Amino acid sequence: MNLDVRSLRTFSRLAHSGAEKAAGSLTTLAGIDTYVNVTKVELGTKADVENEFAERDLVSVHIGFSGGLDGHTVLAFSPESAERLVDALMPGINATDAEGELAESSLKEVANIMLGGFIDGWADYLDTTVDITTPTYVDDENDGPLDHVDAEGFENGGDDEHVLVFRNQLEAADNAIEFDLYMVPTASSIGTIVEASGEDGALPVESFAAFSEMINDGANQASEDITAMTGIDTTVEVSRLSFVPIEGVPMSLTDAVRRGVVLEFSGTPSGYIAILFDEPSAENIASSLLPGMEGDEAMRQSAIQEIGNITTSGFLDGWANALETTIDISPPKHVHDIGSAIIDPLATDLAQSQEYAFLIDSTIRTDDDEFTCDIYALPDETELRKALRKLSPAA
Amino acid sequence: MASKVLVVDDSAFMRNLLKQLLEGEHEVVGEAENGVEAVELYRELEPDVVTMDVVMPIRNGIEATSEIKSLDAGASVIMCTSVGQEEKMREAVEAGADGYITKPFQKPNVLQAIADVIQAEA
Repeated sequence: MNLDVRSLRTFSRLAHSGAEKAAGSLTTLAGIDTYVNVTKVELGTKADVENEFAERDLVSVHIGFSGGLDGHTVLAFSPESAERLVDALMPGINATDAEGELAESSLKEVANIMLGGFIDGWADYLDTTVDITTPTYVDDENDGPLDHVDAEGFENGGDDEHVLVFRNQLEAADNAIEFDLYMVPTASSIGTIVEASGEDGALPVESFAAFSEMINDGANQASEDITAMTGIDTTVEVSRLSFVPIEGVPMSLTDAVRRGVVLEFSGTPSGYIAILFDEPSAENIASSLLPGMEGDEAMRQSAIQEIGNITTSGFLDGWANALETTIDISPPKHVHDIGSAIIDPLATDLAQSQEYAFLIDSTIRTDDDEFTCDIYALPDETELRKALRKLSPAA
Repeated sequence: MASKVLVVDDSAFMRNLLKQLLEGEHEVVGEAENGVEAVELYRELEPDVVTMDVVMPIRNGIEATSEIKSLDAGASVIMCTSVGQEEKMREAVEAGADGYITKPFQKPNVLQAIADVIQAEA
């Protein structure tokens, strides 16, 4: 099966359009103005997706679909957002109450209407018929968040198997309700969609999977370098490749204040990378590197810049070697701002030459939450396509 | 035997770290934070060994190494880099680097790299 950037753009537009339809359904159903913040096409592993669910302690409703397209859709809420939504639908009912059967039922119905609308959009595009299953409610008391997304939704069902996920972040701003709408088509269904959207300049899906592996290897190398430098054991929690409209890139970060570095890299591919810590993590990192030097802010900033520099090199070296190329990096620039404001100028620069971006994000953390490090890389789309071509099995 | 070392890195933290690693083993006679300063201090201090970062503003470590080697073909320069790419290492060797150490630094590796270039010079 081949994928090309045109297909990814079509996927993204379709998913966004479907999500807008779903948001409209909720607005009609509950009178809650709902918006689609960002639509991403993500390539990761089942384990990555599950980790994210587990990390965020999500409540979700799953609906399978079959016919012209096969796979699963998931509507996922934080417990707080689920409570607010139920409250908006039926004031006085508690969504997480053990006796909240009515609340569970209302969430299932919301999902039924929203996910049904979402799938309808895809069926219309493909001029086919898609049937959906009855909704299944999943909360944190169940075994696993994606247990209902079984082997049919993933290529081989293994945790390391790569999967293409369409993810839409929606928000009902006035009610402070945020939720995600996921669609996980089967591999054969991705082929169906690709076929319908054309294959000009297509690359085997294995190229994307190989690149995704490369990202993971880079993140592991960065994790090892951080451990070597600080003496603190770290692990890679998640690594992901997303295809996202360029204006949606800043929305991929929260408005929490972050500290770290931004670097530009040049070669094949070129682009930007940001190594960001939340404030407590930045303080913990600086203290571990400079014990007893709490008062020397300039040196602490230099230490954070240097760990950003080393983390970047660890992250990108593997890419350069796998692609048999050289990737140069600029000196690190210290940043301290809300996450979206840090990423915004990088996306704005890329927006001069591209409408969509490949966003690579990895999270490295310690077991005891001593610190968390987020890596965001934004390669130039054209350059990344060249890189992916090199990873093609036929290359 | 203790050698005179010029430490070149744009990161104050890394210069400080290298000074700590070399303390009691070698004498750090100067510090530079870019390639231009490195060449000036090399002329002035005539160190036995230069530890040279690669990615620096104003002038990078590979250009500075090339210039130092053109001033003094016998200069001993160790590249200190987190960039472990083979191509970058080849550029450093072409510029005249006598050895390299990879960040994050381990004290034994730093001391061994200095010992190696001093021995080769002898």
